[in-house]
Amino acid sequence: MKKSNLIRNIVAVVVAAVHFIPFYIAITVALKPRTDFSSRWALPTEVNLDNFAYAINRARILDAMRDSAIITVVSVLLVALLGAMAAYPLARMKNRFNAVILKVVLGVMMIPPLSMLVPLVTLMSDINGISTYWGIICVLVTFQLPLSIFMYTNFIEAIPRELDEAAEIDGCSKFMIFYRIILPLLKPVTATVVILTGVFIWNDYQFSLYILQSPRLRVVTLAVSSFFGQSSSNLGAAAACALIAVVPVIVVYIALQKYFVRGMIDSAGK
Amino acid sequence: MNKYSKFARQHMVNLLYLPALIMFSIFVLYPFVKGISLSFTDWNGFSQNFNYVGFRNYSELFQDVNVRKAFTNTLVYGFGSTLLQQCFGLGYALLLNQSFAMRKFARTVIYMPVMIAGVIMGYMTYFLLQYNNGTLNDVISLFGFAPVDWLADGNRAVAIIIVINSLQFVGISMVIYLAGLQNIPKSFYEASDIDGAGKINQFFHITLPLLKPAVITSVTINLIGGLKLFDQIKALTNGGPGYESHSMSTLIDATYFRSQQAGYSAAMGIVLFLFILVVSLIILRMFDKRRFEY
Amino acid sequence: MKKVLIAVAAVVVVAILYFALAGGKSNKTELTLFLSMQATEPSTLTFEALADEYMKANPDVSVEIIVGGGDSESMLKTKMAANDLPDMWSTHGWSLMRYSEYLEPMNSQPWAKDVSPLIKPAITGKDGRFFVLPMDVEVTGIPCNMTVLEKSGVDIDDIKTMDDFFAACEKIKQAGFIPIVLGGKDIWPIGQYMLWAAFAELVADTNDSETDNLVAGRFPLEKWVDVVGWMHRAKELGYFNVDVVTSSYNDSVQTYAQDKAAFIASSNYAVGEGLTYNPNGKFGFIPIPAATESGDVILMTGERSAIGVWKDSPRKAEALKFINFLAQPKNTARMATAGSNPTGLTNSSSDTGMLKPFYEKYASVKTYPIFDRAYLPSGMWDTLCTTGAAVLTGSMTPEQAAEKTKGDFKKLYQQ
Repeated sequence: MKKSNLIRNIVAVVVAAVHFIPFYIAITVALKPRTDFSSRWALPTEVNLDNFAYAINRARILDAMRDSAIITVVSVLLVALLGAMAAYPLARMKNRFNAVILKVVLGVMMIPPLSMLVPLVTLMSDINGISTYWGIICVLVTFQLPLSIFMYTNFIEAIPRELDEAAEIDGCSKFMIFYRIILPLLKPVTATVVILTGVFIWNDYQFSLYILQSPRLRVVTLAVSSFFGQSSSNLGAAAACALIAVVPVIVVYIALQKYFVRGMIDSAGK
Repeated sequence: MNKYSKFARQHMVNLLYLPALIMFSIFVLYPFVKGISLSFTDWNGFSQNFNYVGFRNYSELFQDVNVRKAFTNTLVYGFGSTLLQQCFGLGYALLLNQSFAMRKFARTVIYMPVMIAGVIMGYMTYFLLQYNNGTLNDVISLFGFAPVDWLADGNRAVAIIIVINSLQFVGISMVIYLAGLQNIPKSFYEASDIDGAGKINQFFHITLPLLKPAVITSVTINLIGGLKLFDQIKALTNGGPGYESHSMSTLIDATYFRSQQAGYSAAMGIVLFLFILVVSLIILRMFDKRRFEY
Repeated sequence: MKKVLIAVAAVVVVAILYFALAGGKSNKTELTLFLSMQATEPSTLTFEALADEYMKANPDVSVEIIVGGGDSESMLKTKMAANDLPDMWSTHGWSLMRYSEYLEPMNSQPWAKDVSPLIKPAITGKDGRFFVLPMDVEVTGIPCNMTVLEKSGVDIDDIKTMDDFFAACEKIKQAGFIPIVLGGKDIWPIGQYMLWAAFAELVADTNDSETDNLVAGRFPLEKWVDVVGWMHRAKELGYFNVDVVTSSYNDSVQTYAQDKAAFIASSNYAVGEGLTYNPNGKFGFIPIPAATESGDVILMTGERSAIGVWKDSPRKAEALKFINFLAQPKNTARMATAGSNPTGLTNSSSDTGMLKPFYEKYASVKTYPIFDRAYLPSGMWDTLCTTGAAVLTGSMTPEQAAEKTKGDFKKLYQQ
């Protein structure tokens, strides 16, 4: 038994190491000055923090992280809340109309964003939503809602209807049932929704690029891309910027990992 | 209680999806419908002037060899990376479903790339495959091989993109399969142990059938992700060499912004949308079937 | 769960109120200047320093600089389509062809008479209007690495024709260096090389120039086969780097800066970028050679740190005031010096650093506006890049590439 555990540990470490290579490379690139052309495997001979200074002073990554955090937290709360609300009638009130609504919701997931980009940006500028928190939040929430509705609907369908019926006999309205009975049961799947959509929103580049264009409101992906230009790029600074931006995501993941895996188990295992 | 109020009582609850529907209508459907009309123009993507050209964009689209190539590639990316992710995801899940010291550590590291923005991950992986100073070439030169220009051949570039994409997102499948495995009651295995079934037999007769829901979830997520693949391609090959490794998404982007043929690009977008819609409706059917089985 | 819900609702309400109220307007006029450069470029830093100075002198105005980064061009195109643009932006070579519909003409500005003849033809439209303040001028020769050329025994003064250029490449190759490094993954360096070849074949010989034909919509198919031929032949002869189609522009600058390659498919700004990788490098440039003995070597000029003003900006007057501040001789001099470029206005001069002896040597060389923007219909730049790429990968012969170019030319000319 002991021997096979040793093998398992070795295999696990090797696999993890392979997946860690891109991060390791990003670290060595970020720690070396531009003039250092040594192999990217090699650690720098002396620690050079210039790139991190660029990330903090030039790209103001810390400000960007604050803005990203605000956007992500508010959006994720809305995605979870609106998603759960929408999922309840879709899961419980089965009729033709609601079946169509559900298909529309899923259809939204398939729309290539580019085919509606220009009308969307025009709309946002007409309603003064460019470079505002509410503007980007509305767009990001809308694009994450289908996934959230999809997962909540699947989950609610697996909750026995008897619970609803018992409550109805006690005189509860449908809204009360949703609020009192269903909502408290959604905790595990909510963890999954929060982590999946939170990661998408934190990492959003495409919408932020076009909807945010003020130096006072910038997100992490825009901070990283500010080190790329057509005639000039600063890869070391970009790598440093990306590494700083990754830290909170990993911390949050490790903290929530337990709930996440639970949520996955509960939502996948019907 | 009259009939009307009973109806209202029954259906009022549908109001709960109203906020979501309003948001879809404003921020997706309205712009999307407006976007469709652009596919009938010769618009360059930035001018205020353009002409309507009827179905010309659509008829050109079906004769365009680059579109055909991108379409094939999209299928290869979609199904190729889905297949690869199922194999690796299931393999990792089987390994990490057992208890040993490094299990949590490995699970966290394998999942880490999922949490990183595609643009950023793309640049990190480009470092691996560069010809000059690329990390993979550094490794093979240790063994005395000449450096290889990995992405120079179209088919090889497509294969490499699939592998890189799978390695990045395999964490999703892994977690889904882990969840599925933990839902299989231990008693099933114990019973078959008594019957004297081998490990391989157990895998094919107990594990795999009971994992079916997890397989469907994982395949759906991977397939939609794979068919929409964009960031990795842009960072690794930018569609090249030539047009060899474009997916529909990257070709739409390049046609829109680089070639300044926004109308034509919009037409491609509509076709891609319809295609993914059909694929996912088929998958939904599979979901519905699954419900009947339970 | 109830508590959680109430907390969620509270956070959302507070957040909405906070953002609704926090957006209160200050009394300052807020101007935005969008730069399609990256955050650590010297030109970006200079713009920021100048904006700070201006804000100190004019406390009622604030100038916000947006560093566009990697996808600046896509962003500006989308913004144009939505007709919602920054007050000012840098036009990076496209003030006429792409942005003029949205830009305020600058002809009546006080500094208009000072626009340098180096750049004037490149930014002036058929009707005589121009739309930007050119703080400096991008000069495109063929950037070269003097260390590599010296080691290969090539004297740049001997290169007058494309045949000379290829002979030099052969020598460089024999000496074990890469003759021409090109980062083809980013596509545009391919177009850059095509521009050289197009100039050599179609413009260099003033007696046999095709520019009038092109402007009139007549496409010189046979000569274009020769244009593409220079790409094809350089590839066949092994004058490019091995990873010519897969490497990024950034890779190519590194190779150039590390004294591994003699020439780079780029503009003179490759020199400044090269110095950031190798501060001890010795770089220079040569003018674009002619295809035949009877032609002249030439240089291309275009916009670099050129700023235009959105014609519909609600803050147009203030934006123009800022532009006039930028146009002061000491400021244009500072901007041009930061990028080692000549200034765009005749009333100031810059320190072009390492390139100074080259600019002096080539002072009498004729300059032309960037080829595709002057002589080809809008949208052809992409055709140059993609047909060039197709020849590099071998998926098109020069004849097929020229045929395709002709087709796109006809189609786009009619639009």
